[in-house]
Amino acid sequence: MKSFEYGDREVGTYEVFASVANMVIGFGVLTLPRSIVETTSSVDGWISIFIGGLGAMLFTWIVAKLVARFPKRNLHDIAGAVIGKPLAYLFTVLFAGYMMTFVAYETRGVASISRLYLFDRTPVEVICLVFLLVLIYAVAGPSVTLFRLNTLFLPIVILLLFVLFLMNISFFEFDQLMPFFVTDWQDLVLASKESVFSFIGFEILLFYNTIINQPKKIAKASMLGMLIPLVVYLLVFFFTIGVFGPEVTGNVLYPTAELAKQVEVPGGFFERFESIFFSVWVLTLFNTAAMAFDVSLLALESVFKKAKRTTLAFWLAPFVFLIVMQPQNLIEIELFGEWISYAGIGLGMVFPAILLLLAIMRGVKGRA
Amino acid sequence: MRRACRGWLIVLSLAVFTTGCWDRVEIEERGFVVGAGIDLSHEEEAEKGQFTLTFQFVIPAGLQSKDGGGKNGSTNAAFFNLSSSASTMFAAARNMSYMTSRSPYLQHLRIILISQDLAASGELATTLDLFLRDHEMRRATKIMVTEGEARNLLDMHPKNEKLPVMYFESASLNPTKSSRIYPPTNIGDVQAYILSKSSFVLPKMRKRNEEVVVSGAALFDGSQKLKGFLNDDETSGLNILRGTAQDGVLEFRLNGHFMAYEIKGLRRTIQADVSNPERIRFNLQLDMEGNIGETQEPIELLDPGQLAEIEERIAKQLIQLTSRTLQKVQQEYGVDVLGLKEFLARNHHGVWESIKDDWEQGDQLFTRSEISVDVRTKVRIVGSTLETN
Repeated sequence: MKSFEYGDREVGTYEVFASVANMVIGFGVLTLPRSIVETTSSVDGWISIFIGGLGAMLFTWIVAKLVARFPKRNLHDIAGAVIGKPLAYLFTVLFAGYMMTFVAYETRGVASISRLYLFDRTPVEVICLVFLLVLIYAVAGPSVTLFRLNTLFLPIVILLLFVLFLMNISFFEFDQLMPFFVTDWQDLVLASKESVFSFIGFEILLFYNTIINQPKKIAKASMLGMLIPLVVYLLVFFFTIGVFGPEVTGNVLYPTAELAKQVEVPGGFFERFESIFFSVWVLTLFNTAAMAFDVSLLALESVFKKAKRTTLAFWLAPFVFLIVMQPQNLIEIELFGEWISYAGIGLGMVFPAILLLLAIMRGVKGRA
Repeated sequence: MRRACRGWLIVLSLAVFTTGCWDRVEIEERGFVVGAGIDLSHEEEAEKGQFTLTFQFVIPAGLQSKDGGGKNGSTNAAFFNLSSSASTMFAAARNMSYMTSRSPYLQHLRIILISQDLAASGELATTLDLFLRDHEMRRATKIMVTEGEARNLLDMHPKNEKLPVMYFESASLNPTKSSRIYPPTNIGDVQAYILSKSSFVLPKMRKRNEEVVVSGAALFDGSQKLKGFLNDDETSGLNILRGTAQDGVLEFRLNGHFMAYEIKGLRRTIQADVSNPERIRFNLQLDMEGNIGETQEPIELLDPGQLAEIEERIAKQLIQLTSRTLQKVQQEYGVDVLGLKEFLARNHHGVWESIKDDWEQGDQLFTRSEISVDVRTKVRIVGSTLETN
C-alpha cells in the first residue's frame, strides 16, 4: 500500500477521468452550436454531436487499450516496439509539434475571446504572453500536479455550466426545438465531422500512461471522462437552440457566450454573469493548454533524453508565441483550428488504431 | 549581494506586472445609458446623416434625491438626454462622447425606442445591427415602437418614477394585468424574426397629454417594414389568438347591464388541415378560464343555467374581438403574426417546405387560408359575494 495518498507521483482513475474531460472541453464548446447548425436544420444537430461523441469514444477505447497493453510506456516506447525506432522518432516529434500548435490555438482562443468581451484595449499579444508565462509556470513541475489541478477544476466547471443552464431556463422555449428529424442523413454525417473536432484531446493518454497506476482501468475511466463533454455539448446545444432558435444560433459568433450574456437576475451582480462564466471558462482552457504543453514536453523529453524540462519549456515558448501570432483574423484562427483538428484525427485517432492493430497482429506486448 | 539583487528584481517585476489594468475605466467616468431612441433625422440634421440617435443617461446623484426629478425637472433631474445624427448608429454613439464628460456606457441599456417613421421606412434591421453586434449590448434589451418621435418620449417626466425608461419598462411588463399590452419583445427575438424573415409585432407607446400610454401594437412584415398598427381592442384580440393573454379583463353586456370577466388563463391549440396546400384550413381552439370580476346585473350566480349563459356570452364576445383582429392581420395587412407559420413549420414540415415562399409573399397563401376560431370559456370563481344590487 501507499504510505500516504498523493505522496507518490502517480495518478489514479479519478484523475484520469477528470483530466480527459477537462482536456476535451476547450475552445470548441463556444462555437460548436453554430458550426453544427450551419449544416443541419432545426434541432437535429444533436444526432451529429451524438455520432461524433460515440466515434470519439470508440477511439478513446482504442487508445486506452493500446496503452493498457504497454503499461508505464509512452507513445515513443510503444511505437518503437511496434514499428521500429526511426518511425517512432518521427511520430513522436510530429506529436510534439501537434501538441505545440494545439497550445498555440488554445492560447489564441483565450486571447481573442478576452479581447472581444473583457479587455477592449489590451493588445492580443500581451494577453497571449501573460497566458504563456503562466503556462510555463504550470508545466515547470511534474505532470502529476496538472492532474491534481484538473480534479479541482472539473467540479467548478460543471457546476458553472449547470448554473448557466438553470439561469436560462426562463428563456427556454420548447417550441423552438421542433420539428425533429428533418435533416438529410448526409448533412448529419457532415456535421458530425465538426463535432468530432470538439472531442479531440483524449490522446494525451498516449504520454500520461507512464504515470497512471492502474492500467487496466484506463479504458473505463477515460470513456467516462469522454461522457462528460458529450453530455455537456448536448446540453449546450439544446439550450442554445431552445433559447435562440436555429436561425440566431447559426448567426451568433459564440453562441455559448451569448447564452451567458443573456442571463438576467434582479439585483445587479449576477447580471454580469458572463464575467464569471469567462473566468471559469479560462480555467478549462488553461488546463487544456497546460496539459497539451506538458505532453509536448514529455514527447520531446523522450526523444532528447538529456534535455532539462524547464529549459525545454523556455526554449519552446518563443516558438509557440510565434505560432500564436500567425493567424491575422478570425477566419484564419478557425482555419488554424481545423488543421489542428485534422492533425489530431491523424495522430490521436488513426495512428494509435494502426499501432494497436499491428501490436495485436505481431503479438507485441509491454511489461509493467 | 546576489541575494539583494534578486530581491530587487522580484520587487521590480512585481511593480511592473501587478499594477493596474489596461482597460481600467473609473466608474465615475462612465455615463450609464439606460435607454435609446432612434428617429429619422429632421431636415436641419439630415446633412450629418439620416438617423438620429438619442441616449438617455442616468445622473446617479439625481436618483438619490428625495423629491426626484419629476416635478420641475430642472433641479435634481435623474437623467439627461443627448441626441446625435449620423448615417450609422456607431458614429452617432461615438459623437456623443464630444457632448458629455462621461462617455456612453451601454451595458445597462434597458430599452430601445423606434419611431414610427423610422419603422415605416423599413430601416429597422439596419439600425439594430449595432445593438446586436457590439459586445457591450445585451440580447435582452426591449424594443418598442413609438407613435411620433422617440426622443420626445424620452423627455417625459413620469410622475412615479425618476427615469422615463424605468417607467416604460415597468409599464411594458404590465401584460400580467391587461391583455391590451403586447408582451415585451427583446432585441434577440427581433433578430430571430429578421433572420427568418418572419412578420412580427412590437409593443407600441404613445404620448397622451403629459402621460405615456403603452398599448396597442405595431405590425411588421417579413422585410421589417411597418405595415400598420392595432388599436387596444385589436391587440387584445391578438393576444388572445396567440394564447399570450394570460390575464386581462373582458367587458360584456348581459340583459342590458355590464359585466366584467377577469381572464385567468388561456390555452391555445391549433389544428390544421393541409390536404389542400392552396387553401389550408386552421382551427384555433381557445380554452379560457377566469372569474367574474364585476357584475351590474342582479343575477343568480350559483345557478348553473345562468353561468352557462354568461360563459356563452363571453365566448361570443371573444369571437367578436378576435374576428376583428383576424380580419385586420389576415386580410388588410397579410402578416402572419399568429404563429401559424411556426405551427406549420413544426408540425407539417413537408408541406411547409413546399409553400414557404408563397406564404406571405408570392401567392399569399396566408391571406387565402381559412381560419376558424372556437372558444370554450369557464367561469371558476364568482367573487366573495353573491348579490349586491
